Amino acid sequence: MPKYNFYTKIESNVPRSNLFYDLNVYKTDANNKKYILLSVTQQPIDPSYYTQPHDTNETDDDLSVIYIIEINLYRKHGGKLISVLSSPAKKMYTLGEIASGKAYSKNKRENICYFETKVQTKPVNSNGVENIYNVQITCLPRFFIALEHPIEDPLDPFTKNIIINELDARKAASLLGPEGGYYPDQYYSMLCGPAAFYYCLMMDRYDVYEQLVWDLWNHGKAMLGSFLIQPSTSTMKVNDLFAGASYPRVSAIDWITMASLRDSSNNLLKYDSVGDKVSAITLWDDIEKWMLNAGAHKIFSNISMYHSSLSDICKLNSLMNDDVHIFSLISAGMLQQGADVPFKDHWIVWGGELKLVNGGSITNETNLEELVSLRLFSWGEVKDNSLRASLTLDEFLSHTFGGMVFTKIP
Amino acid sequence: MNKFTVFFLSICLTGCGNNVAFEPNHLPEGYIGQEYYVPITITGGTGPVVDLGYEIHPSNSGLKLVFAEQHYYTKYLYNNFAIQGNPKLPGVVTIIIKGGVVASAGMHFEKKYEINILK
Repeated sequence: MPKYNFYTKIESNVPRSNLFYDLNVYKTDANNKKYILLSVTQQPIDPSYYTQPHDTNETDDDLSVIYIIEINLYRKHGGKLISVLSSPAKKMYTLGEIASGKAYSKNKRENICYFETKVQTKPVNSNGVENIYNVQITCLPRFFIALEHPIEDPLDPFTKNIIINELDARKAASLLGPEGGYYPDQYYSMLCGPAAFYYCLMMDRYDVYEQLVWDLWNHGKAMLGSFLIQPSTSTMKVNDLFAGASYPRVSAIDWITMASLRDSSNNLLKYDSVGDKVSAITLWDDIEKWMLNAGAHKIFSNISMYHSSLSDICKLNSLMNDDVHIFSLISAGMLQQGADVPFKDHWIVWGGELKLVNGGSITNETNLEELVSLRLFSWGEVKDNSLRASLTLDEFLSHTFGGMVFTKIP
Repeated sequence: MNKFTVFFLSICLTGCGNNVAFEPNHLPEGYIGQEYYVPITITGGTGPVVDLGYEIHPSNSGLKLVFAEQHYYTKYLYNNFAIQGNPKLPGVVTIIIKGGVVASAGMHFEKKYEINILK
């Protein structure tokens, strides 16, 4: 298995002889198991403020696999090393970027930063007035703001604490995968496509999902593999998140991730409002682009303009296992309380095979009048059977327009 | 998303309204001192009802909305509920129900029921 040479850049005005770093490069899988690609402690920085070049452990990962780079910085004071970051700084890079020496940004503020300001203290002057020295510290403005309840407003939905709390709940769900509404939730919006994608990302690579949220929150942009997620200003300064309600109609982390992804993927129309319809629509090529950029591989697709045949569904059933995701385009009328419209209007993610309600398997000979059951993700929930009560196989076929099968995100 | 696709999908979406229907559409009369119970079902729209609030006038009418116990596997419990209680006052009781539906692009609905309470 190959090894790679890793280095990244640190931005600082402190003499490099006084700076040291801990560096961890890792990924965390769906079972919360950590795979360490590289781990070194208290290393010196090179003259150009790059880290030392470090050989990684061996890995047979594809170059599209995303890794988390975690750095802690130390400042030498009187022979002691003092940690200077309140928490380790994190960045995301693909193994391909690591292998090609591109695991840093040309934009200074996107690298790990540590700066100091020094001022000589002075005695109180002879007039009895204190000498006051003003230090100007620049800080990036917060990118995501609900214009109806901006920063300092008690209902501001994008505070750091709210983001942390929402992420904690998602992390717990990613580990346990329970039935219920613990997953990316389009809520009032029409963002079912981004919700389906983020459900897969959250379940497979929670570490990437979390870092994506923080990169967007901190910098207003994030990289998903080679795809730049950079929402419009009007998406980040959303003006109808509340519309008079006392709660946001899409939660903070769902707006940050889902609206940003949708807006960044649109060529023609902005997605910047909960009320947007046409610009909210996700086609299958978007799903494919997002999954491939997250590192997954496409195995099969029978997505179509026409409703599925029994053999189409049997094919999807035959490919369903614990190592894949199946995205399916449907008419929501086949779901409990879904609108019964004649066209495809909703993305779901299968959580198992389509079965008969008595647990039996479906074959090409199954009677179309048999009642069916499917575990799936939709509208922020995973349920063992989300299908309308008494839904026949024939009705399931007429409401389904095929599916796309991907490997899980590695 | 190319121009043709946007045009095509725009046509599709024009049929995707948020037309929520209440069943029954009108409520029967009630009688003071007699148990009143009418199950209500909300259908249509783009998906489950995600939020629901209501006001009853007069507030001391003796009637209330009763929702089923929430199941652990879903947060969507507002599509089915009952209006029930023992009417206390003669006259018209007005119930205004407001809510929203999942995936509705932010649309809200409002329904006004009037119940004639007789002695």
